[in-house]
Amino acid sequence: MTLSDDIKLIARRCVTPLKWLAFGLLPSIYLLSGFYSLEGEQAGVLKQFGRIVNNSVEPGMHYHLPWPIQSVDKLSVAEIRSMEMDFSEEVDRLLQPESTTGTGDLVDVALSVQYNISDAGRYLSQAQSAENMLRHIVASETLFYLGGNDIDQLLTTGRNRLQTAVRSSVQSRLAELELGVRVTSIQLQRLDPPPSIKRAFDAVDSARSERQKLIQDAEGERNAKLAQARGAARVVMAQAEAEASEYVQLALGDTSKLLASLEQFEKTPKLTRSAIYYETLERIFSKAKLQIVSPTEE
Amino acid sequence: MLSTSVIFVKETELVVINQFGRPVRNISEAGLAFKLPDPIQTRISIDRRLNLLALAPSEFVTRDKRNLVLNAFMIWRISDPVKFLASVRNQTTAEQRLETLAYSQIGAGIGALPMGDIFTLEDDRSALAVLFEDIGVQTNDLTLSELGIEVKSIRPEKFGFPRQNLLAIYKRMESERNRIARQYQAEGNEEASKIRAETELEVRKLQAEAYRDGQMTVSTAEAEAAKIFAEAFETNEDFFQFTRSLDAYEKIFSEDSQLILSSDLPIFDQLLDPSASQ
Repeated sequence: MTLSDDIKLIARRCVTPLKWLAFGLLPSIYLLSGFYSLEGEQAGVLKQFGRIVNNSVEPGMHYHLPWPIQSVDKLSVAEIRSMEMDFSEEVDRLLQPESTTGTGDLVDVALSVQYNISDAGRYLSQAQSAENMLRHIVASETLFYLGGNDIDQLLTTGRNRLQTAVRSSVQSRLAELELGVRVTSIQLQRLDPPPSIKRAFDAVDSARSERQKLIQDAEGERNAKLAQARGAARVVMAQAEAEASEYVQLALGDTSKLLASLEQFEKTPKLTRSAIYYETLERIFSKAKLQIVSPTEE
Repeated sequence: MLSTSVIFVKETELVVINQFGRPVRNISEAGLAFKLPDPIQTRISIDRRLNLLALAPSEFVTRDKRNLVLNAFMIWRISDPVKFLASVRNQTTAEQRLETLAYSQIGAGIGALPMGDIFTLEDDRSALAVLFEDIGVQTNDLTLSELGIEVKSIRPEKFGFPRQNLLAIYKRMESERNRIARQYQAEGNEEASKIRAETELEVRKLQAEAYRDGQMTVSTAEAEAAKIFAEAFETNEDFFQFTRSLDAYEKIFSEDSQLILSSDLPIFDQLLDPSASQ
């Protein structure tokens, strides 16, 4: 047996297994390539010859016809993504860092956007970069909202309203463009007056509270003074009443004393009269200086 | 050769079928499609996706000669591939044309309005939004007819004033805040002194009323006392006159009084002539 004969023998023996390989195994592998699975937060986009036939394949195990007939793109859709936007970070020769309000004032704004993929098929095929577009759209809708309000509204009640209004108008734009993205929320990280004049704004707040304090102090003083005055008035009344009562009591006392004497007098008029007379003179003459003279007959 | 008859059209593209160099068919549905083999019919793929063109910041002038700075972006896509290929052919050239067009439209739009119309709070919508919607519509009309391009929107991303004006704006905002702060102060002081004045009045009123009421009480009592005396007096006028006079004498004469009395007085009878009887 020569080497070439041996090789021919082995080659003949290998043909059958190789045939099995070629006509059995490879097609099987090819067919099996159609199996795929999707995690819980993923959705699949099933394409046939490039055309989307199912843009939201559920999680789980699936089969598709192998390429080039069908193919699947997997996307994480349930996950909420976040995008930070600080409008004052712009560094440009021409552009101001702050945003402009409806009356030409400037405010410093930063926010974050939460979004997810609502239509996987559209997200992949509608725009070259849906996220980039989203970023620009948020910037522009925020700008429009700020341009429709004045700075006092914005700094006081405007924060929450900005968040809901911008979210809603961004969502409308996204729906119009069919980007397949949904904004779940917008959160304001910062809405302040420009840093260089923040102090003047704080001064307004303290002036406002000081006004309240001035008024409250005056009211407090008022209450105290009125209470005091009422107290004093009660004292005056009490004193007057005491005096009044004294007058009446004295009168009653004196008259009852005299009525008692009157009773006595009516029993023995002459005697009582003399008695009282002499008692009184006693008291007077013992105090005063007396001179007794004889009247001359003239 | 026959394999070139079968084409796959992606979701992101439009396909133009050219026959001997001339466009004969547009395919806008993705998936499987058929054509005559090369070189009878050839395919050209056009990206149909939405594109974002960010424009560099630029200064614009309003109707009343005030300067504004803004940067804008455009969202556009190819809508008529044949016209697109005939006019600009590729994305780079398209973007150049779009940029030029955008600047001129924005300039025209802003130049037609005075500053006051842009910074106004009249309606719910900001004047800017309305302005750029108009700009978008006009630009779209032009691009559709000339370039086969649909402009979905032109919007500003940043909008404001030239940097050299910023200091002046800060100063204005600051002095406005100072004015408001001063006003709060003044209001506080005014209200406080008003309260104080009112309080003063009320206190005085309370005092006066108390005094008046007190006086009335006392004088009522005095009248009452007099009445009591008078009533008693009426029962025996003579007696009460007598005792009242004696009371008066007792009060009138004191240690300092000097009395010059006649010896005729009955009280002195016993003193000067004890034997005389009365």
